[in-house]
Amino acid sequence: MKSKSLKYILTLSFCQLFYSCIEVDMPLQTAKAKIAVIALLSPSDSLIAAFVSVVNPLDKEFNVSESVPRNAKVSIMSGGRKIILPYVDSTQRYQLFDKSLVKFDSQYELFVEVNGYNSVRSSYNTLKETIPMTSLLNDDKKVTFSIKWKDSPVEANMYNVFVRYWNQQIRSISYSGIIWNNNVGSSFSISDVNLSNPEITAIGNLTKSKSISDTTTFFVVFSNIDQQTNAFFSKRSSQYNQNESNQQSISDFISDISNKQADLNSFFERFKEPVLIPSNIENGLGYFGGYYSKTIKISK
Amino acid sequence: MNKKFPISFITQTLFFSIFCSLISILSFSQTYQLHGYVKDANTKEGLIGVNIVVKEEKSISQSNNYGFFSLKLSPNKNYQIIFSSVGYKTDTFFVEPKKINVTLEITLQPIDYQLDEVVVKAEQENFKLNQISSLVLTPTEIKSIPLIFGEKDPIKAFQLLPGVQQASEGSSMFIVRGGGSDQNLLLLDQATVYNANHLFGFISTFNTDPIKHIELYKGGFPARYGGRLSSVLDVKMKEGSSEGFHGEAGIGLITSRLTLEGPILKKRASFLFSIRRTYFDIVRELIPIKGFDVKYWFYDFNGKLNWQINSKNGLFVSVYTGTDKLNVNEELKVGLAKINYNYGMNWGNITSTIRWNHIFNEKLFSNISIISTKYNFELSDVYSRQLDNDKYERQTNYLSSIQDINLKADIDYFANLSATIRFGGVFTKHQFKPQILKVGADSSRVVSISNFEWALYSEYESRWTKRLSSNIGLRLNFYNTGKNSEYFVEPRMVLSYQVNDSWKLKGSYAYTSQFTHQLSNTGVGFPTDLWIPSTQRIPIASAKQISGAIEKTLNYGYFLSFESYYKKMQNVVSYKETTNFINVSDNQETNYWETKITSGQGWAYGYELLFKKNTGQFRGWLGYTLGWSVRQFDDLNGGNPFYSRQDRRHDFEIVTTYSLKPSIRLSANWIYTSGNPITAPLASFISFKNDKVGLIDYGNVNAFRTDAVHRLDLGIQFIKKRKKFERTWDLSVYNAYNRQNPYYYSVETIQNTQTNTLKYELRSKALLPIIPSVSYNIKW
Repeated sequence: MKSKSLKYILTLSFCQLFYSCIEVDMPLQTAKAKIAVIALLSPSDSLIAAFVSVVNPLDKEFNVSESVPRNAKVSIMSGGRKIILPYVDSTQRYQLFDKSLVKFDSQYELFVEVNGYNSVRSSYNTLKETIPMTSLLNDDKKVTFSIKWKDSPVEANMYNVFVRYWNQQIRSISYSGIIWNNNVGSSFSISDVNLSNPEITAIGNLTKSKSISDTTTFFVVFSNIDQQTNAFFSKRSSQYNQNESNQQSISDFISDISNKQADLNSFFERFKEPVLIPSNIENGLGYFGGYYSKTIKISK
Repeated sequence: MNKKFPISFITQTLFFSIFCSLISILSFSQTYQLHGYVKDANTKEGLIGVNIVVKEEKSISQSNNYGFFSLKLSPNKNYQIIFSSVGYKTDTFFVEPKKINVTLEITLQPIDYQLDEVVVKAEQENFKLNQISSLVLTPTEIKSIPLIFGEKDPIKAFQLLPGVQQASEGSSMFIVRGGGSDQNLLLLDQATVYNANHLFGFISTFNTDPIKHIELYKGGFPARYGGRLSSVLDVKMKEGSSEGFHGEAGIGLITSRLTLEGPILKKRASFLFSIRRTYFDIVRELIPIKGFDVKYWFYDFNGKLNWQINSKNGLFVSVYTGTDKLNVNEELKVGLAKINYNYGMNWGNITSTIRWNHIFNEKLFSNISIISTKYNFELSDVYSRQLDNDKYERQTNYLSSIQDINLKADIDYFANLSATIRFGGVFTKHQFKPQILKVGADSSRVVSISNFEWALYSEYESRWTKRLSSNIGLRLNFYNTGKNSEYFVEPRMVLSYQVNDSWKLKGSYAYTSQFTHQLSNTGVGFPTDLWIPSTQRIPIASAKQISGAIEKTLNYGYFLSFESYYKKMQNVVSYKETTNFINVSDNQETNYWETKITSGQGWAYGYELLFKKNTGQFRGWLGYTLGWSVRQFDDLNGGNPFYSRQDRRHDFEIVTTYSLKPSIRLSANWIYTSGNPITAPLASFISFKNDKVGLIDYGNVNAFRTDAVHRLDLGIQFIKKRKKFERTWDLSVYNAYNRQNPYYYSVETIQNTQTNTLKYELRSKALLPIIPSVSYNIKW
């Protein structure tokens, strides 16, 4: 009996191990001191900017004023050319405007070195340039904008279009009042995920009123951000709201609730599932991504 | 396994077992069917799972869930039939079947806890032939275990067995073999209990006093159960004594209880009711606090009526209702304005079952039930501000509910001494209201979903040889998810091989599906945890589980079992990142809540060891579980697998009771459970100039494992038998060495003004220190 039982147990155990090995690529972690970099490339603005900060693990004392290192060596490399980005005190970023360096559809390598921390690196390919075709139709009742462009199938894009104009009634620049593709909203956004037709058209209608006149000039602002960069910033924003809410004490909430209903929503942020921020920075945290934005004057 | 099977195949397979049994029935002739009920001699309650041994045929069978049995015997022979059950004196009957042509009533005499030799015999025979991964604790066992607040909570007692763990420290939510707590089917007299938590999960809704039988299935589910992936907790209430008036009462630190039962209609009918209530709110009234008031209470009511219409028909009505209510009222003065803030929540279940037992003939027993269950939760928030005559008031209510109506039929066919067929069906209509938001008088945000499911099942329980037996079953589940319908064909099988008198090998396979899901942000049994149906966007969950066991019955009442299991789950659900049960400014789209949810897959596997001593002065068990639980969602953790909240690597427990004297019983439990994975902050950094809040690095989903939980609970009972009643003083200490077991974690900021530095620390917060309890109980 003993040998039979042993055989049974061994067979069972073997079968189980054979079936059960689900690889969880996740050793339970404790964070180490490292660098976070949030860097963006914008070919339309000829801008490259990187915000560098120190990641402070829990249980480690740190000085808030030293959270943004000013002596980091931030370099960018593309096409065999390497440039060190200078630190700009007013923005606390390492940044540079360089038309000859920041181009569409080019590969970039980012390196960041800070004394006392492991150096970090990342790479990013800027988006291909898309030039939208615009037209404007003006009748007695409304102004119709048409913006057409072709999606690049090799990229994951997130497009956004809005129209900017001078609102005579409120005497300021306005984006609202335009109905985009029959949806009310201040802009038209579309992702190219599962897009059946690469030809995209955004139609905006603005009802004529005292806000505009026949001489009003309209500017189309067309921007494109790759979806991963967009996901990073969207999650950053969600987590930021969550963290802000978690810092609010319950007594603050109670005393503030009279001021605005939105506080109730903010209070419940603390019960939300945590937002994990993605990263494409090797040895560190943060994101290296890009976008571009074009402003086009639109006329008949 | 869904939708791929043609109906013809389903039908053929479903009734395969019936054909098998028909063959076995036809193979016998010239027989007599001895049938009847096995009942408790004192109360005339039907006894479940009584072992019935026909010595001459060397056969063993069991009474069904209603105490009914039927034995196919030869009319020309005399038989010696032995009836035995744990907690009852074994009885032997000598019968000549041809002289008996009525429904028998066999009564077994309950025995004292101390009478060992009788129990040993019963226990040795008390093995379920064709069941694996099932656990039974008797109410007496549950009442002898020291538990939190001195409350004799059956779920807390089951959490001390291998394969079952508490969802969080002190919680009555439980997890079975790495499955979520929503994957447990909780049945009270056949009615589903959707939220079994009082006091934010610290006490369960199950009051032990009116409970007759409680059984937990962790795997190898019989085909008669369906609708959940991980376990079935089947609780059956007492039917009420038809022999005399009995009662139990108790006063404890948290609750007081009263149970009364007795005969009506000249012993043809009986009643039982049981109530339990807290008195924190009453005590709170005695301590005035200006400008602030908090009230909390809960109650339970269990009631049952039982009418034995005649020897072939019985009618039962059982009801449960329980509610928790929390209300906080605060008055503030801001400048000249008076501000009143009143918020609270209440939640509760109502279940009712009407059951009709009918004996068609000596072989065919039926149970028809109409069942209803409702769980509702309400969160209210009233704000008012008054400045002179200017009064402003705003009221916000958030409601959520689920309501089911079931029609159920179960039929047992006792084909012969070695074969029983069970078949039946159930129809369920669900009404879900996952979220209703009322701001002021406006209740435009009402989400209500009605859908239904039905199931047919068949089980063929057979003893093929003296050593080999099986329970082969099939369940056909049909789910309607609004516009679509889905079929699931669920094979179930348990094989049991009796190697010799003491060794037994068992194996099982079970395919299960689940139509309803529960979403939890906290995982600790808050009433805010939402029940939602599967819809076109949220798929139906399913699981396949295989398990194997080796069991050995040892001398002196010792029992050893080693089990292993592997479970693969599909379409388990979770909240997406950033979502929770309420979002005031959410999109107004009716089914917007569905977009908060994502589905994925899961795996759970592990080993369980149980070494139990059921008899003697010294009793108890030692249990150990080594387990893994993994989930993978495309929308979470970058699509990579991660350990689930239910992952507990090691779980060890020792539960002991020692009867020092017939009047003094000592008890002690020690448990150790590995920490569970949670998503907790690991580091922080700022992401732009003048960033005052910063961002948090969580690593991965559930990358942080909490501290292990361990504690010692001690208890002593002083029992005294008086002429007309028995009283018990029950003293217990929960967490005797005051271990600070983590309940939740929070980030604390520590500022050092000398060095002008900051430090963030993740600190565990314990809620349950050493808690002594005392209760006084009487029974008559």
